[in-house]
Amino acid sequence: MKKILIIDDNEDILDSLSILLEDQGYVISTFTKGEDAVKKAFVFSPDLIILDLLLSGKDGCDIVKLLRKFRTTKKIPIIMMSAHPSAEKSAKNCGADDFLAKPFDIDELLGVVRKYSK
Amino acid sequence: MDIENKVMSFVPALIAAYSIRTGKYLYVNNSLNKLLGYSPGEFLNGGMSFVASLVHPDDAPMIFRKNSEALKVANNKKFAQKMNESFVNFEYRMKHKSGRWVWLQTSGSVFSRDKNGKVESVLNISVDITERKIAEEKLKKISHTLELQIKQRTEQISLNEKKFRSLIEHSSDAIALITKTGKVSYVSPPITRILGYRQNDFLGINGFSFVHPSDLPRATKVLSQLLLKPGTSTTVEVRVKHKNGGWIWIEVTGTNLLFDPTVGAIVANFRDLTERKQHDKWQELLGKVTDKMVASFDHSLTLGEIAKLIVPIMADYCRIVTVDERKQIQGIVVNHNDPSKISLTKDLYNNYMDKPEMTYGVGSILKKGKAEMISVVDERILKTVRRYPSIIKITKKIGLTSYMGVPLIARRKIIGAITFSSIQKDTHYSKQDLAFAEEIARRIALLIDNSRLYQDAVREIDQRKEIEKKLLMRTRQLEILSRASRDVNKILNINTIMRTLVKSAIEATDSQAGTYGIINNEKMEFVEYLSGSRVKQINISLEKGNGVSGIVRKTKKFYLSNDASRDKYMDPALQKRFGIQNFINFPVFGRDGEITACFELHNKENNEAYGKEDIEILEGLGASASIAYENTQLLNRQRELEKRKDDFISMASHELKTPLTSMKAYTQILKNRVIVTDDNEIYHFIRKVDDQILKLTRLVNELLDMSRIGNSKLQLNFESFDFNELITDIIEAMQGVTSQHIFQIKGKLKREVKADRYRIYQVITNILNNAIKYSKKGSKIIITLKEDRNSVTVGIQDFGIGISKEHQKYIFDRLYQATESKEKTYPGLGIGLFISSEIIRRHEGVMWVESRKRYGSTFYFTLPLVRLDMGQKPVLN
Repeated sequence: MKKILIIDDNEDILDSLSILLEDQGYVISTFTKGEDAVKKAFVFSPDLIILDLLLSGKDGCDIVKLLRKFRTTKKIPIIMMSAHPSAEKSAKNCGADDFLAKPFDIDELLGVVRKYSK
Repeated sequence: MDIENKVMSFVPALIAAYSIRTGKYLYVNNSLNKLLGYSPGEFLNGGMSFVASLVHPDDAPMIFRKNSEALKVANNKKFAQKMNESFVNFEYRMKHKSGRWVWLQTSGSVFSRDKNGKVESVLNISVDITERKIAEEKLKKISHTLELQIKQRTEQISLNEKKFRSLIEHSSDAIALITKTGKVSYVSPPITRILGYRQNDFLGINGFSFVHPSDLPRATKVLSQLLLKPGTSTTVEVRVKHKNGGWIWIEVTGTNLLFDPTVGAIVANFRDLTERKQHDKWQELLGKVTDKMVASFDHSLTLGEIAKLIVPIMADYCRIVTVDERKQIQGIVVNHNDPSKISLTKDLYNNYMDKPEMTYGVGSILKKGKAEMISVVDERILKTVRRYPSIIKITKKIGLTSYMGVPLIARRKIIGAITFSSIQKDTHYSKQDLAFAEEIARRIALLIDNSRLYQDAVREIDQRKEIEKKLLMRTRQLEILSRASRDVNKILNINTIMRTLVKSAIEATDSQAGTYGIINNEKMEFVEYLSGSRVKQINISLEKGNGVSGIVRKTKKFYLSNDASRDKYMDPALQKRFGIQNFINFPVFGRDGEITACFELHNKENNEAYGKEDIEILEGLGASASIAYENTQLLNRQRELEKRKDDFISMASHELKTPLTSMKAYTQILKNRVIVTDDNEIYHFIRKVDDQILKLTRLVNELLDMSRIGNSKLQLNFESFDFNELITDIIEAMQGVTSQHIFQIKGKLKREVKADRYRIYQVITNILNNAIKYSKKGSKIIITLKEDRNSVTVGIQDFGIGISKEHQKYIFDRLYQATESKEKTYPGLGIGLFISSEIIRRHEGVMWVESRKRYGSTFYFTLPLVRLDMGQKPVLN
């Protein structure tokens, strides 16, 4: 069973995405706060992390960088999402493996998840 | 007839005796016949009276008188002793019987006396002297005529002599008659003038004794040659001793007339070469004056030189006076041979001769405009000024002997006068000299006139140059002004604007330094100080009402001072710190008429004062500053507004996208659930919701795009891709949305397109959406692809309602919607075409429409194709 960690400051997005992905058979863990998510990442050992570039006040980029520091989390594939169109470049620069532009097609989301959770 | 009678008859004389008492003829001889044609009897009978009537009336009175007198004498006792002597003799005419006149000479003698001794009868013996008389008469006539002729001739000769004499005596040359030995027999008066001697000194003297020893051999030779050739002339130049001991060059022309009885001498003509040489000198002077005339334009200098030339050649004292239009003396140039006499002569002229009331002198010359001359200054002349005894005294002291004065006239105006004064004792100015002086005066006048004209021209040129200089300066200032205005219009930073303008102001007003102040929170803040090419940061803040800017703010007018240290508004500390000597402060006004800033310029170059021209320049710059300032305010405000707008749009679309994301997710969840329950109706409605979410998403994206396009923040990611594939993908997706339209693709590209795939996808989708929106169900939508050398032209044609020509102009504009509201089936924001055209534009392509109302529209756009190198195969199959 594949585990996905989702981080977004919007609860509805967390909720809807987790239901969708759970329907697909994934185990989802959601967080609104970046630090909490990182802590959980150590314990949870997700197979994929999806996070928004802009987290309440904090830069999602920092989270990515943080994750990339630790041995346990550094190899986990990270997908960044954002409502900002120009975020793709920033996301890649941060070290994310892929990017999704909000609002994204659900099929697109599933496709990307499938790709990185292998 | 006896011998006595015979003799009596042959005697050629008429002998007749008549009685005085009776008047009757006592005897008449026969010769009467021969002489008068009468017979003696006729006389005897006729008597005295008859005979008397034959006498010529003109002679009768003489005969009668003579006879009477003779008788008286004869009756005198003394004479009575001499009897038989003829006592009367007369010649007279008597008429011949034939009528012609006969001259008779009759001598009468006493024939008898009465007892008292008185003459009783007379014996006349008459001889015919007619021939002689006629001859006499003829002779007389000839003699008379001859006399007359001689008289005339004599008169003529006398006249000629007079003429000749006069000629000789008045000629400038002297004439002498010289004998063949060289002695002078006559010399004419001019010799005195030439050589100083009197005429008598020469007479009888050998002329050669006066000749210079060196010239003597030559002269002697010439004379001997001349003697050999009578009637010829020869000329020789020799030096002859003047009475005063000096040698004078004389040209002697001698003509040999020794043979001529009326002359009998060598006629020698003496010409004083000195005089000629003097005149040559004068001529030379004239030439020099003319040269000066041509060479120089500064007449004050040249007149001085001319006066120097004139003295001593033409005069011992020369004075040239020039006057202006009002006859006021403009300049005086003098030169004197003897410097010690200068002050005296000056005195004479300044105090007397210049006055117009004087008979002679500059005053009178200027008044009358005529030349004047006192050839000989003698007592007579001096008497005329006896009213001024001082004149007489000075004149005598100077030793003035001759004077002439000539007006200087140019272009018919009297511009001055020139006087010549001489103290030479033996020469005086003559009419000739005056004529010469007039000639020189003419040249001098021309010189002065030319020089004045030249000076006028130079002055005019100078004036024009001044004006040109001023114009140039103005032009330069205007250029600076216009450049400044142009420059500041591009600048948006108020400090930069003010700095630029202050720089220009410094240049235009030739100031050393300047600064500008900007009002901020009621205070006038001076940030920078410009001096030379340096910009110094200063931070001086003046409270409202303080300093020079304070008074400028209060009065809303410029303020200047040309003595900063004494100015009451200039802060002494600042004045010292910046070394301000003079300054001008000029306000800059905002739109509301309030002061927003000010310029201040310091220390105009060359210690000049700030003046009118500087104020004008600063007015111009101030105006530019005001406008530029306003511009920046407006622009900044505009920018700010736009930024806020864009920020709002960005934020709004971001905010909108968040719920959309979860909406999408939830509808998907619903769809999944419903599929499981297999409820078509619910599924159908969920799908409807999904569609709307899709649309909403698109709208939000469009909105976001527009705001980003507005900010020029639209980023394109170029890649090469298969365009055919893109089209088919899009149509597939479209077909999914609307099954009521038929899509057709015409054409296929062989090469790849280089573009931002996602954006082009957006463009085509947008156009297709419009096509669907504005055309009927079941109508066709044709997509054509045309490949050119470097680009592809894509055409999307619909058969819908079309777009009128009017609207075609505006459809690519932001926020423009062409259709009437009831035609709308898919309402959009109307920004799609704007964004699409922008995207195509960013691809360096072109987008346009061809449309006809009610027939449909075709939208075209071009995109760059991947370049094909030589020999390369097309990329796509």
